[in-house]
Amino acid sequence: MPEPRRIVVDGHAVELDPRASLASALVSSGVHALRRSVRGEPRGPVCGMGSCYECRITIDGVEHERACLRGVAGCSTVGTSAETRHVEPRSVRSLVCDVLVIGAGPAGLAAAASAARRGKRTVLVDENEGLGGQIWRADRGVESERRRDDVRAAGVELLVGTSVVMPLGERRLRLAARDATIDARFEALVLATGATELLLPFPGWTLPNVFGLGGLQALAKGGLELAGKRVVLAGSGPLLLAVAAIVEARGARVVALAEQASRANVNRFGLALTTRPAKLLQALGYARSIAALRTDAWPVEAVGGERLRALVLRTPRGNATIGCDYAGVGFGLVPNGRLAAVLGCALDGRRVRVDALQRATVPWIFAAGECTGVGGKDKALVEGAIAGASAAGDPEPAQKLARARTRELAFAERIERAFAPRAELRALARPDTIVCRCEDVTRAEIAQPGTSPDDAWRSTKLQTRAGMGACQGRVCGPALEFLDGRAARDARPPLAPVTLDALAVMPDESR
Amino acid sequence: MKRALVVGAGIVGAACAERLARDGFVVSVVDPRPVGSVATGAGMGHLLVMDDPPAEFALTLRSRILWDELAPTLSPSVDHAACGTLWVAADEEELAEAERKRARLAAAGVSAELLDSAGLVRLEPNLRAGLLGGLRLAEDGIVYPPAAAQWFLERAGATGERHVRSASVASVESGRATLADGRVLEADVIVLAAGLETRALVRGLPLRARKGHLVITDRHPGFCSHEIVELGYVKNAHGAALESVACNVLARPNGQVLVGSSRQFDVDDPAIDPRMLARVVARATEFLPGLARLKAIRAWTGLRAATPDGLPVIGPLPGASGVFVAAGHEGLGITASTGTAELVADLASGRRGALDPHPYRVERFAEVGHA
Repeated sequence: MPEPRRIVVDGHAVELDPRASLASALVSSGVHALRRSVRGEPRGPVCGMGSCYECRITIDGVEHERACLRGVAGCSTVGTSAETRHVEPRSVRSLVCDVLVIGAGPAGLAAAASAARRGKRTVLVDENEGLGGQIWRADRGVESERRRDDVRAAGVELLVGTSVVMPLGERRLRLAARDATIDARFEALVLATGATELLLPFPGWTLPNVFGLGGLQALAKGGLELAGKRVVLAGSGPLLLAVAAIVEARGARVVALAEQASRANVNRFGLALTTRPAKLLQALGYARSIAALRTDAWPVEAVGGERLRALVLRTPRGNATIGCDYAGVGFGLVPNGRLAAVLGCALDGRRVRVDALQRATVPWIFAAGECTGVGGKDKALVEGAIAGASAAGDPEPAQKLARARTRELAFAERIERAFAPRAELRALARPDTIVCRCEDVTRAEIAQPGTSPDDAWRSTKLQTRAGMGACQGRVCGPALEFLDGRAARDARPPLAPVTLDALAVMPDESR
Repeated sequence: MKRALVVGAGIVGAACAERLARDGFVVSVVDPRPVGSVATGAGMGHLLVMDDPPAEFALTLRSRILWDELAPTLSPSVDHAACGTLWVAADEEELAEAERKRARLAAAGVSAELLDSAGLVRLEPNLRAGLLGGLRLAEDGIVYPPAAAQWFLERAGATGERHVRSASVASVESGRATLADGRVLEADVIVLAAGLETRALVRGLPLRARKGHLVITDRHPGFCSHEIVELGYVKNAHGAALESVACNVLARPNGQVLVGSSRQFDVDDPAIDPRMLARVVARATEFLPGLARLKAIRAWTGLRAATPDGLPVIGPLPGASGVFVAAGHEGLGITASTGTAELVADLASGRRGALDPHPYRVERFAEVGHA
């Protein structure tokens, strides 16, 4: 480990790994609760990727910053309670380019490289400080490094640590970096906004150290110390095995691995993998974990006080209480179409609707990767390559890659079928279980929906304030949609919480 | 058994339902949309006394008294608090206006405290230095409007499938309303309280949309405690300018800060206009520079129902007996809901009440008639 960085946490100097994310480093150092909820419960990081807003903390005088998106290296003073200090307002600048790409995961990297190689001035934006999205977070493997190199070689301009704030009309977006408000004007927009995890409420799920499954993966990649830790992984989908492999490689002991899907479905999916040699090899890497995998098993309660002590699993042979330090629980991925929706693009469910060119229903907007339907890295790479070229006015890759795209879409459908969350999961939350973690709204407070799913969500928000907190329904929205069919798909600017100075800037009308 | 039908489940309709139920009416409420989800859901929830013109003063003062009477019975979800209003003067002209306001309020027996520059900063340390002074109305308050509308409906017994019908009203005449699907609802008293939508039921009702933008922040407890309004607001709110902004900042009891406000005539598009949003935030930040570092989590717009003379339309609909209008409250619907409901109930029962109904009567607009 390089020289530790000394930062002040709640008035005490703490030495943290300068390469780690702030959320990972704080949890590793024993700060499990980063904030208190509305009802005073301790809360710690969950999603690890900036969408749950549970790790909000005061960083260098700015309140409610997401600790998972910040590196230890960039922080000096951190507080788990509010603190008032003068902060320099952002500077203001404008940006003009041909193609703007939002999201630097596999789809965004492929799209940006594809557009830039066709001579378009291309800018790639991501909220995270590193390129690679969730799958390649902190990954220095051959494939991810090659994709990063491609983007740099093609001359793509990078805007990392930068959030999208709101549309400014046709072909214009306001962005916010930490030090600048940026009004971008472009010819075409590629949305590669990825997916978020489906996190379902069960008793105790709000305890610190109960992470999302992808959340635990992100925190592990962000430097969470796992050596000797007991970890329970539960939920659904191929991510279970991937996360098991990652945490084991970092010295953790996976004490239970629970897949809610049936053995028959998992086996059918395994068979499907044999038709895809590359994916089979990937799966064989997880062979050790596969042996430990319990199917038809899911979490029913997390037990602990200030933090997690044990996870109770329901298995075909009865309930099992498993002592652990950390749990990763996630029930699959949900396409993130929030920006698309605000821009007026049609969605199918939560998937951004696209044609064979990856063009959305707004003619200057293209979309690629998980936001058009969850299907993994290979689908994202193919779609990204098509979207970048289409955005640059070249329809040829869409034809050349059509077969690959069809194959990936079929694979995506198989995943969805095999790992669809079972009906029993709808009954996990008890009346007093919190469903909206931002506003601490319980299952009992959220009445049964009325007739129209849209009205039900609107009513829920207005009368209970569920979905009205910092995450704006990113967590409870998909959960309530699964639980009882509320169509929680609305989104409003700002697309990410920003300090108000970023809204006070007049858009430049002259350009 | 007397029956009342209220068209509109916003806060004005809901308050009318509650007040009529207290008079013994069995009340039904009809609205195609969820309770309090249109203008009511878009409002700040400020309960304030506006001291000018006299009819607005009478209505808002009476309304605040009624809110105070209700306060002990309101459910916790209504989030009622007496935050007080702080009118802030940036120049000598506004300071003189503060003094005039104080005198008008005092003449009606309403206490208000004049503050100098230092007094202002003592109460609200985040106000910028150099403001000249202000006026504090300590008894003004705040509610969470959609929950208040829901609470009124529950008190009226007008909840559930049986009473709040998710339906649109196509036409109204004495004693009956016809729904869009052809069903007919009969009632002794019908109240049209559908905000801007009331235009569809009352021919010639001169309501115009006056759009506003608001932003809400994450929880920042202690940032401010009053509703802070610049005295220039009065000029903007009552002016006829097509477009105006004024500093209007309110801390909800939970620490979230609401930042407003703007007024735009005849804009029906609910989309956020980044230019107006920027003007609103920039203006508020001039008064409260620390706002710049608070986290905004959501922005939205709403359409106020404005009348040509700035007063709501409350009273019997000419040409139709037992039909009353209660609409056009512009930015004062949350405050004035209680006084409006009382006035409607008084008129429906033929009582002489606390308010003189004359200034709000429907026939002051000659062109209005029974649709």
